[in-house]
Amino acid sequence: MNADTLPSPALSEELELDFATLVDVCRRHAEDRSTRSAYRWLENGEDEGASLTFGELDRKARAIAARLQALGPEAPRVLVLHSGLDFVCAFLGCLYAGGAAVPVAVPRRHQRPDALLRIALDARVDAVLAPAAVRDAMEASGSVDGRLARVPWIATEAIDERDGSHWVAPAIEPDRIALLQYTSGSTGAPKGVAVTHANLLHNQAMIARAFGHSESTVFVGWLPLHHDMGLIGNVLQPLFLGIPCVLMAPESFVQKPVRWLEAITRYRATTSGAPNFAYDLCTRRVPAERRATLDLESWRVAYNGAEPIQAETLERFAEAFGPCGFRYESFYPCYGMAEATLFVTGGLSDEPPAVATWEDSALKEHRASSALPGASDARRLVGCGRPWLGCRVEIVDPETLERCPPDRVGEIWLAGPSITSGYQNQPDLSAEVFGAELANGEGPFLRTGDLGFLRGDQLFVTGRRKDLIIIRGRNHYPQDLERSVWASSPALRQGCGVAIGVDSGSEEQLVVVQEVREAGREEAAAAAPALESAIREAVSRHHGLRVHDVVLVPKGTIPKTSSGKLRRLEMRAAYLAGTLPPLDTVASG
Amino acid sequence: MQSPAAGDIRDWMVEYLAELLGMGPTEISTTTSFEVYGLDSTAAVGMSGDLSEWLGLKLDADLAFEFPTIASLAEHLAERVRASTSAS
Repeated sequence: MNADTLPSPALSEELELDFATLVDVCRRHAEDRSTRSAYRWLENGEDEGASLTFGELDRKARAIAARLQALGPEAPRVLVLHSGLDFVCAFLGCLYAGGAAVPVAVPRRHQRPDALLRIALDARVDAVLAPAAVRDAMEASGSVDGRLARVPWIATEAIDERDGSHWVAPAIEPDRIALLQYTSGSTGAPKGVAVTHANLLHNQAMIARAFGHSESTVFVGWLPLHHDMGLIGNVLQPLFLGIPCVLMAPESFVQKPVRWLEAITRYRATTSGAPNFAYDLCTRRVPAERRATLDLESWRVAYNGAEPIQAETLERFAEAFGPCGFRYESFYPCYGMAEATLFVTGGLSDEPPAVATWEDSALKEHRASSALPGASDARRLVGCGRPWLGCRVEIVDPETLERCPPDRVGEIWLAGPSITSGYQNQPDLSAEVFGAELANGEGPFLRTGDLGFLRGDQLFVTGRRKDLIIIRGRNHYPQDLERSVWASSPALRQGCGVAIGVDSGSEEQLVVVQEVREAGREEAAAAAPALESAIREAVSRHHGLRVHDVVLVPKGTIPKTSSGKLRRLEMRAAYLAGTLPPLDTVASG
Repeated sequence: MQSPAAGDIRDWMVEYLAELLGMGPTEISTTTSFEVYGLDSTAAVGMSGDLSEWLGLKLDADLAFEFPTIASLAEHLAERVRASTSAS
């Protein structure tokens, strides 16, 4: 599928043509609209807190950049350990210094900092930008270790804005890396997507066009800022457009989901979005009496992405909030990933979501065949629109590497200027994922690992080839979950358990299948409840996830490849088919 | 309304968790860590929001990590309720 060219809003056209880097965009806004509101932060998701104009943002970014430039490296890599609007300033400071930002979540008191340490090492960071309080807390818990102990930490709040006078505008080529986006990766082997200025600007231009953005767009958002959807979507798109954006912490939303809708009401937001689960959370947890005070008439683009989109979620939300002025047509289902900067496909912003019904049994055999709504064998899928601005989507048979005929489900492959150059420090994996070629030699393409098909002007995503688990829009690597499971009890066989994602019909749920050490039948059965709760506790503590089901199985149940890799997809199929052996069967081998 | 004491808050949380986790109220122990019930972080943060709504207090999102059992959290909240009613 090739993107056609549509007339674009004058604003984004100008931005597309005139600017080579995000720094150029910010500098222009600082001249053109210095005193206009750029970002506003809501404390507790309710009270107006810090705010920044485009002029202030530019001054702060210059001052931070001057400090980074004083450290020496021409293109410093900087770990950004901030939340709130300080995050935005720190992120831009890295770019103004000609460097790359490496955004990570600020660790909580009760979290292991392992992932953070590995990312700092993998990204070879030259410095850390963090509030003094974060550094103190991390030092107190002994987390300032490894690379983090060897590089300078800069307390961003202590930087004097006047230092900006020492800033020297660097010459930044468009293919310089601006961002290392770690995809909440496996802690064992973090995967940092290297995103260039050119990638960022192209993706911003796509979002602006596809979402139908203009000078009068207003953003409200609560997604984590260190995560691709929060950063590229909610922080950088408003910056690209030079329009106002109101942000709150993810915890504020999760604590009281009504805060999201209240902020949209209060600021007359036109664009705001989240993964599918957030819309369900609103339907379930916003009390009826609070709905009466909401006015969602201004909400033109309610984007939904990052996890499978459920037709029922959209319908329930529209039914619950229709009386508040919400329009079903405002839903904007889209598809994307960090490897492609963020946005890949989406529909026309003034059209309703494309919900279509397919034969489920055919989909299971990788065929797309229309079904009548309500048929017993029907599965409804929400279309994710089409590619924009020179991006391409191909549906490819993952075995033969040939293009699939139109009625076949295949792997989604992508090409275009938003596709990033690969994972940091992982040439083999990058070549495999980003350098795919069709059987006829055409390429390179990004292999997404997602399965889907194209029908009309819609991409339908049906599932995943890889064993990644996506819960509430966050990627979880089974390896990480499995490591925590194995460590939870010595009675579990190390290396012989899998974490799999199972579709419950409304959302993806986590299932653990784990072998236990040899034991007599009775002993094993008696110990099972304690082992199950140890597993649940470990996963809850280290990953903040609830295990939907734990299945303990005898030794030798879980198949491995000849190179010793766990066959997760096979175990997933056995779990769904109900063919896993009970614990009291006699162990083989 | 009379302000809730630790016992009321405990009962409220037992009901709340029982419904959330699909368990019977008698299966919920007030001295067992929330993590043992496999509570996910979204649910734990959501509970802090619902408690805050009920008690009329501003509560931190990560309260359930700070006070990891029903008993300890109820004790803490009852203290906060007392402090806020005597202050007003």
